[in-house]
Amino acid sequence: MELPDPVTYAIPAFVLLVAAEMLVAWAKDRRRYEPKDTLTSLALGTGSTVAGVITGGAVFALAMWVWQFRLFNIGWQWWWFVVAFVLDDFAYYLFHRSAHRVRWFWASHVIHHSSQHYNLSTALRQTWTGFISLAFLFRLPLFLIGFPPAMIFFVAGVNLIYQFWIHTEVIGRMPRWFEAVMNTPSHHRVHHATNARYLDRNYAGVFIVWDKLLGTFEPERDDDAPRYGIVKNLGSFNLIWAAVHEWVGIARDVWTAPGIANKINYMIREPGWSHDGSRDTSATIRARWQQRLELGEHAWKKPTSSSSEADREAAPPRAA
Amino acid sequence: MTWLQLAGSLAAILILAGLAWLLKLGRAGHEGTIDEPDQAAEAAEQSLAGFRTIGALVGDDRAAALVAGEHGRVAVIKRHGARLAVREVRWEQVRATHEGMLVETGDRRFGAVTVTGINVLDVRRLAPSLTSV
Ligand SMILES: [Zn+2]
Ligand SMILES: [Zn+2]
Repeated sequence: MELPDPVTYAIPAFVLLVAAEMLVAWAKDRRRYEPKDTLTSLALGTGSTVAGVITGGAVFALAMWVWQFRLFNIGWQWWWFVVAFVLDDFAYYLFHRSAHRVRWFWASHVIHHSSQHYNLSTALRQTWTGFISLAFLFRLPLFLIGFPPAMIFFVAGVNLIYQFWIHTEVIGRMPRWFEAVMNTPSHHRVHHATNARYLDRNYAGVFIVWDKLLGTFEPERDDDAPRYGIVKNLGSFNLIWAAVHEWVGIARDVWTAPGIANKINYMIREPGWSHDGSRDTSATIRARWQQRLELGEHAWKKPTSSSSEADREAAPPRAA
Repeated sequence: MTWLQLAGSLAAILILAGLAWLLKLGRAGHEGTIDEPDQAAEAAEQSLAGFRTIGALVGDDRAAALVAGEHGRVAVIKRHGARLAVREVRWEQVRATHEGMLVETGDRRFGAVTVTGINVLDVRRLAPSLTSV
């Protein structure tokens, strides 16, 4: 059965919605968009589509090969599309969770998180190296069950389209019943945030219930506004660097790490893992944050000296 | 994806980036982003786990700042588009130039950062226990 690629048809709508959101930003808060960041995100998105075309044939062939060992014969009735959509979304959850917990997978997924902005253009910021990160492995069980590859790739496209609209700060909260079941802008803002409370939470694609069932759900709080990006922000709009920086990091670490076990761990452990414990992982960041909360310490509040002339004169010079 | 679709995508990218630029998005009235030392301190503490600020110095162009923390830690903050980007460095990476304090971050894409209009004396006042700068 020939099915269209739904994403291709959605692209014009994506473009119009990004433009509409820019107008909202212009009226409300111009810092929601940064032209250079937008350019990088959109170029990464296009590059990702090209990479998908290059590797798509191999992935489809592998899917067909696995499918011949299927356990059940699944037909083309509409309800099978519904079942496929739900199961594929669960496969997405598992993929996405691994993408944040295994550095080899993270090296590709980090691209989606490397913007310090959170707007509809961020949704299009997609990886170029998903094939190298073996992202296709997570859907293989669905073919083994018996879902036809074309059906799975179709529902996966619909899943990707759903995830577009949730990358926005324009929408606060959806109706309560919707927030309970579906992934929403609020839930996904948490996922993109680097606040200690929010790190490694809300991996959902379409249905937030997977996070709630598996203990990775965190609601957005009004007293802890999300700060977007990655733990160590790039500080660069360079397109190629955005696409490959974590791979370069892996290569450097594997090259310099002592011993074969450490070298392997630099590829398969969680992002931030280091053989001498000198770096931060989401677990150590959360632990330090909790410790600080328990001590009742608050973030920086005291007045500091500025470089203004008045201050320079006011403070007596003190040499070390 | 056909060549036509690829060309269309590239055209759409340029149109959207052009629109963002025309609407002057990413800019908030004035050029600088770091208005207060408190803002720099907050950025350092939010980006660096366990960082506790002693004091902060903002460059007079409001585009960069130096934040001293407890236990001899130091962070450099730079304006990155409409946001701030932070790197922890060592004091040895901070040196005086005629423009201000130059910080070599050791990260080529992040780049070196100059905190303009401040000098060694300001830095010593910021972190009195310091002897190496
Ligand atoms: Zn993610
Ligand atoms: Zn996202």
